[in-house]
Amino acid sequence: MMNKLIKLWFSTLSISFLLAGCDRAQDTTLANGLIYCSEGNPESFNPQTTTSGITLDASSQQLYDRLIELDAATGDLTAGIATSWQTSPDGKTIDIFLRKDVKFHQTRYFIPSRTLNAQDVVFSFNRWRLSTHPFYSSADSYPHMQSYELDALIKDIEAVSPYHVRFHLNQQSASFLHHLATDYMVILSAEYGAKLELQSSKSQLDNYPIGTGPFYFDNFVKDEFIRFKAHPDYWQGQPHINQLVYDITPQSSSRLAKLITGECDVVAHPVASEMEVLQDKAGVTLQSKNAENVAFWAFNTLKPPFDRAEVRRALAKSIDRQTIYKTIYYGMAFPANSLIPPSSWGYNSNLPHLTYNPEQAKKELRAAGIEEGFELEIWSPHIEREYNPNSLKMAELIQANLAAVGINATIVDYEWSTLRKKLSSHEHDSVLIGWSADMVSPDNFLTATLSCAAAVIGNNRAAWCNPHFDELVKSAMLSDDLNRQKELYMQAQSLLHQEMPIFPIAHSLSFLAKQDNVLNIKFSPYSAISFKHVEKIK
Amino acid sequence: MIVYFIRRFNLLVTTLFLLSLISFSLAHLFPGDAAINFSGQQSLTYQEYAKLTEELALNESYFVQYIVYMQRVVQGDFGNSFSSDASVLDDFMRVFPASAELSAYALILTAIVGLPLGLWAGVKRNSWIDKVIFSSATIANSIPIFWMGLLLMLLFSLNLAWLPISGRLNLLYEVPSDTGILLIDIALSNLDNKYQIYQDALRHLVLPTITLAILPTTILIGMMRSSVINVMATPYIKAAKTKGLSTFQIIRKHVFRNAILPIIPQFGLLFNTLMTSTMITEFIFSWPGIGHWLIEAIYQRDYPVIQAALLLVSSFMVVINVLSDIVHTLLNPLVRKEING
Repeated sequence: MMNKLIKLWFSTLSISFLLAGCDRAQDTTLANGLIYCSEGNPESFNPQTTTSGITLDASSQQLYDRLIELDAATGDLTAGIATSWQTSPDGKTIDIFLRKDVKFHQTRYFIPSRTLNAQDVVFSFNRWRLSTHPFYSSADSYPHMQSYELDALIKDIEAVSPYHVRFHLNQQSASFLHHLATDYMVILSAEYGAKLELQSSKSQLDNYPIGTGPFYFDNFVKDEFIRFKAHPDYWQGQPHINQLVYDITPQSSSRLAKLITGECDVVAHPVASEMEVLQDKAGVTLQSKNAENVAFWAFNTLKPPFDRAEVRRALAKSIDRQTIYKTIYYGMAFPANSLIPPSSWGYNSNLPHLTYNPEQAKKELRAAGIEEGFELEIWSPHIEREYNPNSLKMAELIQANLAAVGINATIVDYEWSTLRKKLSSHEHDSVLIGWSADMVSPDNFLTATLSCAAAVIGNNRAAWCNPHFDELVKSAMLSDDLNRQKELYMQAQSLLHQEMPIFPIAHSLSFLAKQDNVLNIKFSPYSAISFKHVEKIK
Repeated sequence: MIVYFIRRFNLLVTTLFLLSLISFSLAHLFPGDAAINFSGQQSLTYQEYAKLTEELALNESYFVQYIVYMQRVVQGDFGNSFSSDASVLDDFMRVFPASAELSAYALILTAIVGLPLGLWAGVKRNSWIDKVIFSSATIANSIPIFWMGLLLMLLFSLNLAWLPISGRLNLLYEVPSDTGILLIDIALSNLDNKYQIYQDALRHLVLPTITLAILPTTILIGMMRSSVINVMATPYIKAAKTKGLSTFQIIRKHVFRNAILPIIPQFGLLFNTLMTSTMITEFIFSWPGIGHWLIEAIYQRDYPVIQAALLLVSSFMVVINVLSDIVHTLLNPLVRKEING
């Protein structure tokens, strides 16, 4: 017995050493696939239903196409599924001509019988536009469209012929075509919709997506991974890689480690403190994009005492932002004085600077009836966002600042999709969150985050609704005089400064780190990440 | 003998009862509505809510509620996860094999390394070999596993780049999950690059298995050593020596089997250490098992999952403990005699 045991022992040991020590032979699966280490779970796979950057990154550019695309370098609109478009002289009718032979994804849950036509475009728009549409109620809200009131702007959509769609607008809109180019305006399959309606499994439309994009959806295991595969009949040509996997890795240090060991080809949001490690590392490249975003601390203005502007201003004065820039952003951010970044033409440079003054803050808080020992909650996601590399640490700094003015803050951290669900029902006192622009126009920073329409659907994290503010922003959007627009945006920003529903913190540069052999990732402002043209050289 | 089994069984039932009581009361103790915490269904209409309250008997006494809860548990209905909306039991069945697989390999490694080393140290008592083995086991035993895992990762993955640091398999390999046990699933799959996939899976296994095995190995070495020392001091070994058997024969014929017997009930204890360490190891190496699942559930305030995981994991540990006790009784004539006598 003993002899056998000893033999078994040695043979097991030697086999395991042999196997572990072997060189790994390369096979084509690894060379033809790309692993992107992303920072969190998407809520669904339909960008129409959200403004969350993680969901957009996981769906918009990978699974779908838009009628019109935005050229990030020049800011011009270019052809997407639409080959050409024409606006009538009064600006109220827009004719769009569609590309032929655009094929939908064929997956294990759906086999398309036809190519894309005008019916699909009408279906995709009516889905969020008409409350009577069978799929309207299968999502909670359509935040981008509803905060811009696009449902009210579009009077009707008409399929004139199979490859010709006509939009009738209620009024002229300079930005409408730009809206069509945003990540939210994806084209779904009407045939798939009809099939799901028959099976009465409507929620599948957003969770088991069918689009026309470069990749099709294969599998998603929450907290683990998302698997996409190349769409063989993609109208722009099959992608260079066969497989695209999102490895969900919420911890930034783990993403960095996986990049170094080669387990990730691309990682999302390396944080500023890791930049030094990455810059010196051979075989790794950093890609950056402009600071078209803002991080802020939003107060729930539905909850007293945060419904009073003097309390919000006093709280703002008690926060030391200099320390935040140094310890959270490591200098990779611009101080924010308004929601709109200084690089935008709509930025109001005459705003008085927000200053840190705890003594003054303390006095004002006492005057407003906030006693020593007042308690408030700061909600914070526990993942990195492009505008905020470390929300939790920022929350801790704010907590310490608040303690100095006699306020006991509790930090509540949530996983991303849970946080967003809870925020929409406005249960929070305050939250550390932010916004990344998806359109060039400055109103994008104001409408989507603070308009009354956004407050109703829960996307306005301050639940703040000020008709005067809405009026100013709307008039600016409608005006075609640039000076007048500027003037109105200035006023809107002054009003925000006065009311302080949110406390702007920083505009952060955002980064992406990748292996040197990965090329052509589209990582640019105003749109989600795109792996359409990505190549992995051997 | 039968009395002994009844007593063990009694212990098992009592412990499970207490665990189910704790798990049941959690739904009431967690913030939020008990109906939602029990069912995991968050967006309910008023009618649905009323129906659910009825089904869960939430308007009745706690006693009735508990009975209804136990009926659901027996049927395997633990509600739905808040965050994934999938049935908690389905999620559990998906992650459990991964943990079980890792623990099993670690246990095998523990036995392969721990038993011979403990035996060696015990036989060569007080020699330098014994001192080296015993003191390194003590040192390894006092190193926190979290730190050890990170250290191994730093050395073998980040510096030497030999081994991957996370997951069970490179995500680009797609192995259909039939049994949930990866090494078996690969064999069952009809992929043509099985060899590469096996290599990749084994490379992913090395660090977590070693990390997980360290603590139980050191414990096993200690136990085996003292057990061997006890056996070596017994009269029958002396008798064997006087008969002129060689040391090797003595070890083979008398020491090994007799030394291992008293250790078997301790395996239950070893298993407890292993389960706790599994959770930590899974967290370090992003191993998609129960520990990873539970920690994510805690982050996401996913009450139905926390509640169910607590009950399932702890019941599992209690059952294993009682089973190892019973197996020990069946195998060890000395204990049998004590009980019967």
